[in-house]
Amino acid sequence: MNSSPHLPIAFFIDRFDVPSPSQQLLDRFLTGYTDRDGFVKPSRAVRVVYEGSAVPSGLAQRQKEFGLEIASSIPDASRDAAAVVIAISESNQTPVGTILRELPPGTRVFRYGRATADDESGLMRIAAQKQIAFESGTTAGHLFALPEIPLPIHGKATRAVMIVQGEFPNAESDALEALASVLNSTAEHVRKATPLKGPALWATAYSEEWLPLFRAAASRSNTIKGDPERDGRPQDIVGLRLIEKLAVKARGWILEHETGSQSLLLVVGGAMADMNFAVESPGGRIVSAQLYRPPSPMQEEFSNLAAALERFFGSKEKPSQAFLWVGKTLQQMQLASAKE
Amino acid sequence: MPKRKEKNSSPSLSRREFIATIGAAAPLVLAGGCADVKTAKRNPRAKTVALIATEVRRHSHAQHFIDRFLEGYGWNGQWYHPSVKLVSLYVDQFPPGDLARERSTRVGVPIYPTVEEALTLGGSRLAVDGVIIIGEHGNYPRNKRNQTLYPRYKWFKQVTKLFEENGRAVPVFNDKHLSTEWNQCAEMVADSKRLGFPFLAGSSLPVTTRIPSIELPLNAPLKESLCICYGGVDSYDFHGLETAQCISERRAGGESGVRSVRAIRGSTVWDRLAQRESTRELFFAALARSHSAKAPPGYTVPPRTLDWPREAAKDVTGYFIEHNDGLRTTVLLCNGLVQDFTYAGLSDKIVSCQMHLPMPTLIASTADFFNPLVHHIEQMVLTNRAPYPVERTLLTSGMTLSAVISLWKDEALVETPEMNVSYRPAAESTFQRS
Repeated sequence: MNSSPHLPIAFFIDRFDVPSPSQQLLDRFLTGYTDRDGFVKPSRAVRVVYEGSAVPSGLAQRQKEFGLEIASSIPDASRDAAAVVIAISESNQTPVGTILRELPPGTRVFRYGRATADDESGLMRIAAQKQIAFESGTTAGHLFALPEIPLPIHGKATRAVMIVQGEFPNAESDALEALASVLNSTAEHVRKATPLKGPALWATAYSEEWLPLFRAAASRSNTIKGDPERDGRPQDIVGLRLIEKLAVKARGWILEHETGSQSLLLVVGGAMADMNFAVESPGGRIVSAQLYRPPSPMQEEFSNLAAALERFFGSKEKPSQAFLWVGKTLQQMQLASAKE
Repeated sequence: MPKRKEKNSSPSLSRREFIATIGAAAPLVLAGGCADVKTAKRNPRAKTVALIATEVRRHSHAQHFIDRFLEGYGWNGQWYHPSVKLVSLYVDQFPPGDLARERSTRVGVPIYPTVEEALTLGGSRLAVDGVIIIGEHGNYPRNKRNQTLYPRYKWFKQVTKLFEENGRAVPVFNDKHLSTEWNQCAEMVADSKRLGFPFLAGSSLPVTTRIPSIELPLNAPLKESLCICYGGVDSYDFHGLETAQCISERRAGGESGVRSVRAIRGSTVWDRLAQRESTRELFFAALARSHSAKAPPGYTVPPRTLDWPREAAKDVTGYFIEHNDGLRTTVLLCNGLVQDFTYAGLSDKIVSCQMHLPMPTLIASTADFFNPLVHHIEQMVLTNRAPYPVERTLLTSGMTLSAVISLWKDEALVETPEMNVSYRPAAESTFQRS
């Protein structure tokens, strides 16, 4: 497949409400996006296949204003496309594999969505048969590191901490996707995933080996709950051990990687509302940052994703496929949870 | 409240007499009535600061500064407790929701009844190593031009009077613009030079994190600077001016001073952008850095035409500034279009970034963009050296008040020969980064 930057890009979507991932991504390829160097004008024609009874007015409007091509079928949309973006709801009955089967061989494909357990056995087999370069993910792997540091972090990490919030498994999926972007984790296969909660979780977080990273990651948050919300004061909820009182339903995971390194995921809803990480190198140096998600409706992290996709679509390199690592690790976590 | 003490009176010193006494500073004396258990336990050699505030309530500027000295803050991947200690307060107003008394009681930092006593800790001699003046927020009168008459100049003069009486001066920080009249702003800077103390001032915008984390190289060419911001005249406009100036000042030749300021409201602003290609390109470059830009219905990213901003920000206010060396600065208060601060400058190519300001209650619970500013204040007190020149804020104060005058005079061009202030920036970039 030709990776020319002037070939069209095709979208397969089933919703176009504002804001939605399909709308955010399609618009950025249609009207342009901002990357580190500034605004990037669109260089590709955009085609869309809408799976639904009636084409939404938003798509019809973009057809008029920006020349969006509304295609009737996947083969029609992808006939000479450089790449295809699949952004469909989790509840959509059309298997992604069915879509892949209709694509020309050698297509570069991105599926927007969280990793699933059968990605490797199902989708990847089809992708391999059709020589499709398949990548998948959400914006969790494309957030803004603040302060800005180049990601992934160079060099080997001995330990990493990632702090997130939310329900299982979505919070863990986001944490793993973010961790993959920080550590380039495709090489860091997880040998064992151990769930943590209650006193065992805090004993681990406050242990001599984890506390420096726990403190470093938490120090990057600016959404601390409790007193800071009440009266605006900054507060060291780790040093003062208030985090245990705030995150009453906290849960965590120790991930033991085959390389010997370890990661600690902490899900601390009630204590803070942002994602923060810390990574330790063999020399003991700790690097930390917040992974900032800009507010809705603009959700500018979609510009970061668009820039990454343009690099993927325009290259001939093999995709990193961190989503496979995320999916496998989630599976291990689910099995470990079930055993408890 | 500590007991009021009689003030010693002494004649003002000449600069020569003053400098002769700086080296022989009297040791710090903690007068009775000001310390509690926590302050008594601290290292007696630790440097100390007094903070003078208009009001202390949730999310007032004074609350942000005070709490960072008292509670610490996140800094470079750790929880950082300043080594400079806040030992006294003067608070001018106690509105509903006041937090000053709670902080004073809980942490043991006394509130003195006068500015002077906050600096002498109730005694008769200057007893702190630094002074922080937070004259922002609170209920203060406005002048005929609708500028809020915060007591920044008044307090500064009280502070410097005490310095002269003591034959000793310490570093001073002034939050936001210096004052509402140019001669007062200039006098404050002149006093700091005459009395030989480091004087730091201004906004948190120049030192907060940037997205992306870029800096204009020192001595780079720069033809034009533009900032898109939001908020009110004589309040948030100042932040926009500091955003532009902290980058503009790094241009080849340094800052040359300001020749004129004109402020315009409404559609004329957009007409001007339509006529000026370079300014228009900078506008779109800065807008592309916004994370809050309002888009037309059915979209989430604004289009790159002036039609939409003209509609979304009908009540735009634009400041058009000419510098002595020909640099043009434009600051656009685009209420209705954005809720952040972004910059674009025309160097060899367009450079642009967002000055990241995660506002409490909107996208944060704490105003952590104050962390780097508090850190710079601490470093100034420790090193006796201002990290960046106060002339920046002298000029941005002048630009702010000149814009106010322009609006008051029906958008007239205000020539500013008095702002013939040239300076060089700090060589080292001072915004927060990894």
